[in-house]
Amino acid sequence: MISDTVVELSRWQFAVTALYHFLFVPLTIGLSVLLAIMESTYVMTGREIYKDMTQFWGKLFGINFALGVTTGLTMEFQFGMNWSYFSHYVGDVFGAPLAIEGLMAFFMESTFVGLFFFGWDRLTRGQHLIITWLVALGSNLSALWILVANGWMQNPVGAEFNYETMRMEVTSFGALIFNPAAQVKFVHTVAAGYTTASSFVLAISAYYMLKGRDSAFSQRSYTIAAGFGLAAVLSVIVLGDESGYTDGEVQKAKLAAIEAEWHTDEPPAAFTVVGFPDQEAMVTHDAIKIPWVLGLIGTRSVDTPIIGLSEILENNRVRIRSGIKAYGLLQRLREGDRDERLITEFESIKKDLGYGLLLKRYTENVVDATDEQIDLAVKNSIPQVAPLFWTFRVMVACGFIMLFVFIVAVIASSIRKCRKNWVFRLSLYTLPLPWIAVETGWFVAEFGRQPWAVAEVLPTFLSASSLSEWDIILSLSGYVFLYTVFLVIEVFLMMKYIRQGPSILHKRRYHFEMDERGG
Amino acid sequence: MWYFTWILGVLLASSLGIINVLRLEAQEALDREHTARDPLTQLLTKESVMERLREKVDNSKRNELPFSLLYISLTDFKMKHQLAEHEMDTTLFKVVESIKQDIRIGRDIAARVGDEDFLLAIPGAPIDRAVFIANRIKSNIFANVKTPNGTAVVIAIGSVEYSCHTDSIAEEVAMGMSEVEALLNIAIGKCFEDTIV
Amino acid sequence: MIFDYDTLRIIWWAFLGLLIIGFAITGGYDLGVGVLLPFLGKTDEERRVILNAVGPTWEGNQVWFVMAGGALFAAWPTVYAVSFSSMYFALLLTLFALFLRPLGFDYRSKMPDQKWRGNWDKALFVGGFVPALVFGIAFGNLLKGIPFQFESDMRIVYFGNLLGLLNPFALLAGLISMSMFIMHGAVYLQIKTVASVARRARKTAIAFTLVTIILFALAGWWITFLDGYHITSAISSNLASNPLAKFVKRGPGLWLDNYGHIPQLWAIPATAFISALCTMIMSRLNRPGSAFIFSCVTIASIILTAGGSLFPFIIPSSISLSSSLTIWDSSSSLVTLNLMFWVTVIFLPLIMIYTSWVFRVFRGKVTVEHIRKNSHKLY
Repeated sequence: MISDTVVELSRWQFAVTALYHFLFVPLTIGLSVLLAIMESTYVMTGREIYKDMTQFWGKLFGINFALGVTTGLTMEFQFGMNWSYFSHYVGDVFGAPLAIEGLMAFFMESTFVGLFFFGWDRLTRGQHLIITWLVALGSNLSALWILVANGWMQNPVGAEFNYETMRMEVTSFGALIFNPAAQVKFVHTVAAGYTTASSFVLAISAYYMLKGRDSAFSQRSYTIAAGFGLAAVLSVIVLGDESGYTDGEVQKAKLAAIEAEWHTDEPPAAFTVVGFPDQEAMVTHDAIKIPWVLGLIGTRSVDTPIIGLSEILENNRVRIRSGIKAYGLLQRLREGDRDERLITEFESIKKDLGYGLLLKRYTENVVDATDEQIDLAVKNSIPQVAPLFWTFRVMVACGFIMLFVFIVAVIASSIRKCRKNWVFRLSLYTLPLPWIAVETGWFVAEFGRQPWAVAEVLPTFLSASSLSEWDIILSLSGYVFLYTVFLVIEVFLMMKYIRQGPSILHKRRYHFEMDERGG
Repeated sequence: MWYFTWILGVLLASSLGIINVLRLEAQEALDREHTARDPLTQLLTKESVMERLREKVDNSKRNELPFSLLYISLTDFKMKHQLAEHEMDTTLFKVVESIKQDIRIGRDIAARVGDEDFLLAIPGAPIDRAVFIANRIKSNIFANVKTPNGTAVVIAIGSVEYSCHTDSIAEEVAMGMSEVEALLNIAIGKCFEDTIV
Repeated sequence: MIFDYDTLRIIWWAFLGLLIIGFAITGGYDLGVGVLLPFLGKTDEERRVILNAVGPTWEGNQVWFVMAGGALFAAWPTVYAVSFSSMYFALLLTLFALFLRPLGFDYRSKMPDQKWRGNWDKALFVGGFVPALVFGIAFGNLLKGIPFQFESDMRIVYFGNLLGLLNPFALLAGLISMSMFIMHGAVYLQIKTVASVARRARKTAIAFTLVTIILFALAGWWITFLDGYHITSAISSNLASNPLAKFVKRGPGLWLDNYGHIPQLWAIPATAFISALCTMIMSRLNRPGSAFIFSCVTIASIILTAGGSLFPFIIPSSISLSSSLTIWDSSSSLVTLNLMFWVTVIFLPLIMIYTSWVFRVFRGKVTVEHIRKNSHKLY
């Protein structure tokens, strides 16, 4: 049986590497589109300043992109390295979107990014513009396929368990690709990327405006970011709401956990704004609730109840017992018994096999699980509520603050009188918000899926590779050390370039170059 | 269905960004057209330059950069040579043309503040730079611009630096339009006349 | 159109080989250039020349590596799981080394400080050296077999360590891949540079082609008595993937079995030697374009020789012979292989078309003058 420590360490390592990776990805996704917009404006109007904008923000894009690629390499290989049972068990399904991500998105993005940086003098204006749009398309498509994969982990449609190969196998790719969880996650995530990039450009442009430098440049950057960003943040919020609309049992458990919905309340359920969830007692202390709001938002109706955690736990208990039976049948099948009735019976309850696997944490043999062990498995069949409760609220709060900021920004960019210093300072100080939002958002998505690696199919603790603790301690330390060093270097370079502003392009038009007269 | 929404959404959002900035461009173009300009030279007038000057002065203070003004006057020249009005206009026009060659578009501000007086604001330039530019303009005009009679044009140029670090008189004046007026007066008053006959 | 399961498995074995070869002939020369950077570039400007010779295209080349991993995951998930978890530390060190490349390329010339640049140059060297070596070490260990086995629920247990991976044969394989990538990188630099850098590149290319030939011959001799693997039970090539349902025997020289059965296969290693010689000749004659083509053929033949020996094995297990992974029992399901086949058939040619267009856009030599004129716009 795999040691708990190894599983914990593997989970920490995946969390750390994934969160690090996602520091850089949303900016890549969003800024690539912003660059395409700026360059489109250049080609449409012919004004050089938009080309300067594309090139300057493009340099910042490059600094960020490098670390996105670096941290992304880790992710592609970590499934095999640290989650080898997962890779075997669901690879038939999970591997395909990853491979398609490579074929469709990575190649396009990485091949054309070189042209973006170095092809200005070798391509026509129209050709280069298409290249920029293709880079943006590539990075967005890569988000698509990885979220098809992740969406399947949350809601495993289109696949069935095969006892001969001991793994999940694809039955319908259409179901996989059009998985509602994948669709919503995709649009929500790319919208988050657009919001991040818009905030980034907005904040830095605001900084230049506050300093009174390069105002023509920064005003135009600000204006583009404001318009694009408002649309983006609206989409993020609407689609975040859409994500709450659940598909699949584990998503229902996740929603209940996020909202600390301990029991199935009379519909429409009340929304808990703040409080202190207590998992042992199954109650939220000092809760401040708004009546009806949760029910209305979560079910878009007044009479559909939101399933509470206690009801979910009881459902899980039933399924775990069924899963024990399924596991027993599976064992006989693996021993070589091919009795017709055995096979039919297994096929009919194999959907509960995952629940049976939950018991493997307590007993290798599963079929001999005691009642205490079953109780324990039931208790741990839902995620921990308190962390989810709070991170979700942080994410939503960030989202609404950013909405306000973008509304203000659009007004300021449209009406000259509204271009006050406080607007720009607000734009500048909200720079960290999108990053806080995306990281808490991913925490909600992945922590909320526990104890499952693949919902109702494969528990997390079974998925890890059978490595030794030291293996992971060493690799985790290596990643943390290297990533921190890289992050420091990247931020240092980024700040240096930001402080220089567009003068770094050496076009003799901008602030730090203006004290010398030509000649 | 969300995939299609995404494609539409990106196009919509991109359009919003582009439309927003094109609106800004249109607004600025409009501003430029409606700025009062001197009909002869197309430079700014005294009124329209005041607002700009105040912005530039604010900017310099915030960035702790120097800011210089050049004051260019043909009053003496006019009195001396008694040219007809249209001849004077032609001369002024040529003078302005040659000044424009030395201007950084979008950065420096040139205005006609009197019948034969011009103001040139050079953000970022300290006094020695301003003097250098002043001398260059003067010798340029002397060498290249001739009146219809063939007389060489002689101008008087004064320069003053406005810097938050100098303890010039300007600092004692309260903020506002009057400060800029005061600057102008200093420019006129502290002119070190440098006429070449 | 749906193919047979066994046909698809063979097709996917070929695709995997294609992707690995694709990486070796694109990313391979980038790795080689990284190793050569401190040696062929004696001044800062020469080093910038070298960096910009590969700069615009190296990221696209690296995707072949990522793609090989992704395709492995999609078509051979068990192989992906076994190889990546077994060669954990080797992969970890490779990853760490690869990290240095995107940063090295992008950040190196962004500061004028010579110490900053020198450090990044060292980083880029490591970023080329380690992966080039590990590539071969990994292949060498495939031929030796890896000490892993399956438990009854198909959990993978590994009994080796990093030191075990660094056995003599695998190290030889590592040296082969290192020298062939250096050869390849040098030839590429000979195409893209002029003057002293190009001259040094030519000398290096010729030298390392020779080294590659010698090492490859050595490995070939070694293989004749290295323990190979052979399936002894009846092979059912179109059943569900279940490695544990077969029997395997091991013995010296068994890796040459395939060559014994199909003598035409000897053409592959023969091609390797011949095209290596042609590489040397073309490089000497200052026709680096042709040299590059021969260099690609050399690398492809070397990899195919190894793959052809292994067939149908992908990862033999040295401690639990029947746990060995072959192409018949470690692939994805029919549905997945089929879908991935069609996706690949559509996108791979597309990729090759636009990649070659990009190379065409960047054709031409990189010179020191060009660096000086465009200093702020280049790596």
